[in-house]
Amino acid sequence: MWSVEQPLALAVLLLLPPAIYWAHYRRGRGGVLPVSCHLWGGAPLAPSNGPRGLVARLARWLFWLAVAILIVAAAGPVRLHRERVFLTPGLDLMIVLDESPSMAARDLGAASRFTSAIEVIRDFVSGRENDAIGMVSFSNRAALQVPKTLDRAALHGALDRLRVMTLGDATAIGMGIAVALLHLQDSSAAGRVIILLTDGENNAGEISPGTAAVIAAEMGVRIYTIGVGRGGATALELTDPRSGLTHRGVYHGRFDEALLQRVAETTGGRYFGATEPGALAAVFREIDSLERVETRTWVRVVREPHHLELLLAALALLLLEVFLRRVIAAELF
Amino acid sequence: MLAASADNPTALLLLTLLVPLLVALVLSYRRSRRDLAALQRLLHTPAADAARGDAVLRLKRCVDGVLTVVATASLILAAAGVGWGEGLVEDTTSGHEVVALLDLSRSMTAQDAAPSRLGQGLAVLDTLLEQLPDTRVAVVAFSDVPHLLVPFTDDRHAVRQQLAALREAAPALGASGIAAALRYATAELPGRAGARRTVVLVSDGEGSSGDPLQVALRAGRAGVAIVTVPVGSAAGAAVPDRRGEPLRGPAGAVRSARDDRAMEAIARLSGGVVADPLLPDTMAAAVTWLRARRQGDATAPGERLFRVGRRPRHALLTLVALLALAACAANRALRWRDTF
Repeated sequence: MWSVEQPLALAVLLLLPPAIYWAHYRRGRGGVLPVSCHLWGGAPLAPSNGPRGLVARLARWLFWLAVAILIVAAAGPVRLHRERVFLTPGLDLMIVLDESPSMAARDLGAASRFTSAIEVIRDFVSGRENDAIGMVSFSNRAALQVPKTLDRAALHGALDRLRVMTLGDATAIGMGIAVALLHLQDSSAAGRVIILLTDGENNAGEISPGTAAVIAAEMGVRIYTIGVGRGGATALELTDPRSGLTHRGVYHGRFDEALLQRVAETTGGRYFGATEPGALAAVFREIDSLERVETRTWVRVVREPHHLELLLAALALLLLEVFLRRVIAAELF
Repeated sequence: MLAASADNPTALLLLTLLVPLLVALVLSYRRSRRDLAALQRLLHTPAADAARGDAVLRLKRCVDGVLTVVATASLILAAAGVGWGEGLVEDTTSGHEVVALLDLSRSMTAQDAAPSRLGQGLAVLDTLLEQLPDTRVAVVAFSDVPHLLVPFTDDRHAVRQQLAALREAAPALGASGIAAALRYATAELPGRAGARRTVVLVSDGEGSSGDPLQVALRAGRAGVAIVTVPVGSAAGAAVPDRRGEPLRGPAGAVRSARDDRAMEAIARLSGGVVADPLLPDTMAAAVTWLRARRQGDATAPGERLFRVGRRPRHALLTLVALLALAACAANRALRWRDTF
């Protein structure tokens, strides 16, 4: 939205027509004739209609155009942007994502489980503007991909960089939860939540999911667990990030539903199964509605001044006017 | 604090246009006097009338020339964003966030600080961040270009982890682009809407490209302060290469010394302070300063705050230009001494 800081200054524009009349059209104005009127016996000199006369008239109008632009610039044109400032902190939320090879299975539509999960997470984080969201991925071991942050560009960048199997080929669910808890331990947010997304059984890591869940419960962290995939024989295609070789085959296996339910119940969270195409998005929508917190905001108006462009335009017109009037038209006055 | 400064100093180059403008006005004035004399001769104007006409022409053209130059100069100064004096500037910030900006250029591996310049800077950074427990921190490293290592977060564990990783094995990446890094940290790195930002610059101050002082000045005007941590020594030391041998250039071994003047100017122009590891007083002052800046948060939400800042003068200069042009038009339109 456009506005001006000094709207009353625009009223000066109303003075321009009388000023132009007074300067160029009134009787007895100065600077018109090159010699005293009486020397011509009273006959007025008509302005030249030749090229120099036209240039002189053009210069005259450029001058007044520059003045009009300057008046607008003096009024302080600004473009207003509104920014929402959150007064209350949101949740601290860690997404713990399985990146074991089985996540490359394609049983939730055309894309793999991993790609589907990334897309759903991307939509989910975009909709939670005021929550600090971080990300941990795990296979054999677990690693922080991005600490909890409001910087959505950094989060989306981390999601873009995630690949299946970069941390090994096993499933260390407990380690994933533990690393997320480590990065939530200093949190002072009103609510702390972990969303765990996996398609397998815990078969690696020094910390069992059960132990990690107990620690989470003691810290007051809720864990939502999501089991992904249908089970049974599933087509699988993945590229090993270390060798660059692409593997194709059939994957047999299913997530440990009982374990995921136990982890969720221990921490006061909920378990969800995403076994059909589209189910994952529905699960994240449900978690989104479950973890809504009341926020207070105020709107901050940011003023972006735009007088500079007008000043430069007026300067260019003024210099052009001087050049046309003095050099081309060679006016005497 | 500077007596006067400009937001767009490049626009001040337009002042050179005043020279051709003046030349054009003087040449045109001379030509006008010649034309008037020729016309008066043609019309057999009496000598008294001719003299009076010439006097009026001289006067009107001189006034016109002076006013045109004044209007043009005022417009250029206004476009350059020249300002002077101090005034209250509305401060709509709430919350505090800190960017740790780390120089990873090759000169930071020089051994005139223990364990190295970077190690010395990281230790100072630890001390400063400890004083800001509830502040979101981002970590950016730079050499030629800046790289975001940790986005704004209150996860101190992640920040400590990243700084420890740099302490263990920081790559020496080449030249130091302080200006580009400061621009990224002060203006481009996305943060929380309306937050008050402080950048802690850890560097030896040797910047090879850009104008960091200009970036610092702009940052200060936008409410972003820069705390500089100059590392190394004024005497300097040889810069090692990848193998630890002295780096050799065309003129022999490459030496590097910390640039205290540049680091101090960056801090001063942005409204920040210097935290010099060699001067404990400045460290204590920087800690106090950072605490005070953080406690600026203790304000009612939405309350209008004001801080002292340089007063912009573009409105005044535009008004001067307008008045000069109005006087120009009046000078041309008024009949002087019943002549022109």
